[in-house]
Amino acid sequence: MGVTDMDRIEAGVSRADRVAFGPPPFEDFYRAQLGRLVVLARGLCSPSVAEDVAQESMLVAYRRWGMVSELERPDLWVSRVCVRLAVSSFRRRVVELRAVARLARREPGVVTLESEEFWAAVRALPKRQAQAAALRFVYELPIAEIAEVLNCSEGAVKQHLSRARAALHASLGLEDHSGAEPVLPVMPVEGDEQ
Amino acid sequence: MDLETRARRATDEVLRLPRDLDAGLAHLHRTRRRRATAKALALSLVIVLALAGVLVGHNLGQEPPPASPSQVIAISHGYPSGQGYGFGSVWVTVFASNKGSGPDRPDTPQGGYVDRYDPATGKLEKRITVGSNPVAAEPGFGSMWVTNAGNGGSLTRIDPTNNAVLATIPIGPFPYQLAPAGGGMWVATQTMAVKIDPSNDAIVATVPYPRPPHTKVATTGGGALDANAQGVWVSTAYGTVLRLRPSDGRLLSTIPVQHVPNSQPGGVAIEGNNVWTSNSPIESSSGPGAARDHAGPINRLTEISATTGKITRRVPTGGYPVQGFFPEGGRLLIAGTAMHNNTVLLRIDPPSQMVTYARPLTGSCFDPIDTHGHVWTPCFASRKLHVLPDSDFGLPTSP
Repeated sequence: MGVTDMDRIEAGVSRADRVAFGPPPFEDFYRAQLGRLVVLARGLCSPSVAEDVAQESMLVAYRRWGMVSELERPDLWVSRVCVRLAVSSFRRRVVELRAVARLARREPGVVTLESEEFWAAVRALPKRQAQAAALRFVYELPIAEIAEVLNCSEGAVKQHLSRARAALHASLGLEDHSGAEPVLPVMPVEGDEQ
Repeated sequence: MDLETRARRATDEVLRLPRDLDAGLAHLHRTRRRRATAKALALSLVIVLALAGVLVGHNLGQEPPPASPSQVIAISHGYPSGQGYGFGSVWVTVFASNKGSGPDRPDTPQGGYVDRYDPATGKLEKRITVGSNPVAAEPGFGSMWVTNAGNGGSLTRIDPTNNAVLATIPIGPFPYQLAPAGGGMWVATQTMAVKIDPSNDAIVATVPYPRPPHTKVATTGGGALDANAQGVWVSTAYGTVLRLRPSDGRLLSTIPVQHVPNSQPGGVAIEGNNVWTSNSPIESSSGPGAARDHAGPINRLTEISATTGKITRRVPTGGYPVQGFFPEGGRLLIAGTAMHNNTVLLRIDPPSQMVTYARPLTGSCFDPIDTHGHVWTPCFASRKLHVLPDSDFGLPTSP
């Protein structure tokens, strides 16, 4: 069996490959990436709307698929759309209104209390910290790529993650074995507002 | 259990939740079709309203009264490409053409002049030879400064008291807009912002434009900038506007204004607290100036708050690609590309976004300026300067 478009998306093939093979169909991208996008949204907004936020992000990608499919990492592009959509109060309100109608027909997926406690702790973080932490946990992105997605400096990402880790350890009652120095109150980092 | 293990378990658990991907895709297809229809209807409504605005402006009592006379000034042996206003004069940049065959693309080096005009009479006072392919002029630190796009890019400094060229400074490929700020002249080139110390004409700071990961390397022309107390605001070919600290060029913020791989910087103009840019998406990035304009709703001016650095408004330009603009008293005067490379001067009044004036001009026209008496517009291919009274546009005649 030959290499499918799905294989290429999951393997993160280079743009040169995509030119050679032709752009992957959006449907394959959707199937490969929706799950992780839902997890990302779940770390940033309530479970009842996370599926809709992810779906809305995919819609944005679908409308621009000609351009998005040309990118080296279309998954990062759509994750950027998702983290913005999930924390934008106005846009989230619109999605929530749609979700209300959908909820009458479908319950959001139920996870264990332990998982829900974890995502609730991430959602309780300040906006930028939650975005950085969710990208780190869900996509396991390096600092530089988180900085690209969030459009801020690597130094700012490091501070966001350091503070997020400290806050999550405290709120989840975990011991911090990272050996990092305790985080002292410092000047606010760019965009570090609730 | 450590934090990473907890995160991995929580992630895996949500990933394993059952979801109907086929139903999701079907929903996506339906939503896309529904929104495309709604968008087309909304666009039709905007066009109808804009046309109604033009008709109201022209036919129902708002016909602008003729005030001071308009003029059309022919440019001899050259093609006007841009202009600036300072020291009581209009300084028009001109691509030299001695052969009468017309200029080639802007990246084909040829001679250049700056023509100095008296705005009260429209009389040519002096023709000054500058660098190759001059494109913009701006006053600062007692001098007139001119960007030359040809031959690798340079900056010409002119003494306005005797029209002498004081210095020619190599500056990098395709410089375009420039402005004084933080004790120096800031110039936007294709790939970086450059600061010149006016005391010795030396380059004292260079700030390469950061390239966002989703963009391609664009080669579509020079960058654009303007400056105020809050910063030097640079529009790049990477779909971003950068805010730089005027003293040392430190990058203070990056504001994405386009989310496409290719864009052209357009222009930047500041009025009060509002930073406007005509940065627009393009399809091709091959070759300076080679990007084709596309009429349609993609053509908008973007307004950014200088205080917050956030986009506050997008104003459609009636579908016309923008070749130059300026904000004046909250209104926008725009030179837009019309059919067959001709131009339409438009006045658009945010927030209603109503087109209240439209005037066709022959040839590709760039960068209109207001001398607070007249609007001057250089038209490249027709080799003419159009000088139209402010009253035609309903603009104030005093600053």
